[in-house]
Amino acid sequence: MQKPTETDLPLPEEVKRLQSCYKATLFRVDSIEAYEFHGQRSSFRHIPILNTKITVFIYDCVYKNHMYYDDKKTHVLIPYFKIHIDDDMVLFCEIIKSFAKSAPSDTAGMHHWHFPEHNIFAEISDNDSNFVCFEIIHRLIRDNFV
Amino acid sequence: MCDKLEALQREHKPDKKKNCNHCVFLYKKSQSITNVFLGNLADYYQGIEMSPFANLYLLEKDIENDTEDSGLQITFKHSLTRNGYAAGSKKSTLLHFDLFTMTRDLGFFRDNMVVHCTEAGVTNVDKNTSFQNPEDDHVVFSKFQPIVKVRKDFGTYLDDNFWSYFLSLEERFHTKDPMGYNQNSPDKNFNRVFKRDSAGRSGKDALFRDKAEEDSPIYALFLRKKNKRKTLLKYLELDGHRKRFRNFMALWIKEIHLDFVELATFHALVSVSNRNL
Repeated sequence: MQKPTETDLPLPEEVKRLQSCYKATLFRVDSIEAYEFHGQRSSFRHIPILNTKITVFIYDCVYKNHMYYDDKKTHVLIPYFKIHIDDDMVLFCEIIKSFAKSAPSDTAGMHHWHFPEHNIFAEISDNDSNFVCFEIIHRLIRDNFV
Repeated sequence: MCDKLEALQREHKPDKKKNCNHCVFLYKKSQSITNVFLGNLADYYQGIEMSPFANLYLLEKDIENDTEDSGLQITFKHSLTRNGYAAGSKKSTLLHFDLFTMTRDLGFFRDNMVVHCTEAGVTNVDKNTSFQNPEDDHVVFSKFQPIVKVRKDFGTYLDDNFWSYFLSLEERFHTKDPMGYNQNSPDKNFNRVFKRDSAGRSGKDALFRDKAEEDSPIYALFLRKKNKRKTLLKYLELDGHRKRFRNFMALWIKEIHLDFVELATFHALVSVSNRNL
């Protein structure tokens, strides 16, 4: 299926109305990739973290507060979004840890918690940080189901 | 403000809801509508080139360019050091949706959200991106299936028509009939007016359970209704529609299927204490 062009496609009424009543802004990022590299410069081992691309269309209604038209529309297309969570990822886990440290916590002497009253990230110790996701699952099962 | 709302309520036209200012203000008028599509929408939206979403493909050379790799894919990769596995070997858990969409509708009196998705499984997983070691190729997440099917052309309801689409999903929730089997719903008249697509089809037949499209169905996974300015809502309330002003959330899942080759695998996933300490 080829992309629509102005020459070979008659615009439907819906699109005509959309174009006449809204001003549109397009953002497009063709490739977003994130990797984490381990090892020395001569023998880097890379771990993919994220691979995606994104197209965003923002429509602002020309006639603000129009009775029938939506004031603002945002359409986001992410054709693929691949996230890779590896327990070898030091950097990724450090980011999660930094969130945990910046969040308020009340963990002193607390061994039992029940989602979602407490900040679960704040309870992950430094040594467990590489396994943060699985620690959460583990704790959920232990505290709520066992 | 209250006087204006009461005036709107007095002007309510029960038989002409699409031209009724009261109904438009209460149900249709949206301040912001946001759609996020993860996956290639063109695969699930015939005639997308004529739709309001066509612009999303404006700069694409080929709309179906990324079909094979499209979708939402989450890969968890874990080191296994327990008995039965070589030290340093890896186990991977994959979750892949061909299409995953989120739609949020923000109005004067509402903050609604619907999440659609396809069934998740191991099909179409791009193994080249995931693993270098053959031992890694162990998949434990084999199926995730929601329960509420919607039409494959659901995309036509995610723009200006989303408000009516949401009302029909909401009715399913209230009638405790998420599968849409009960044809004698109490709000039949209401739905007859609101649920009508471009071809003039109306009611559940127009929106749900299209048997021709059951081969790759789309599901409504999550529904959230949140009312805003509840103190003002009472001035627009109609008899018999009070239940429409309740907040609720619904998550409809039919099956989550996990395959574990052996029990040790399950242990390895959930027992992380004291490892690598």
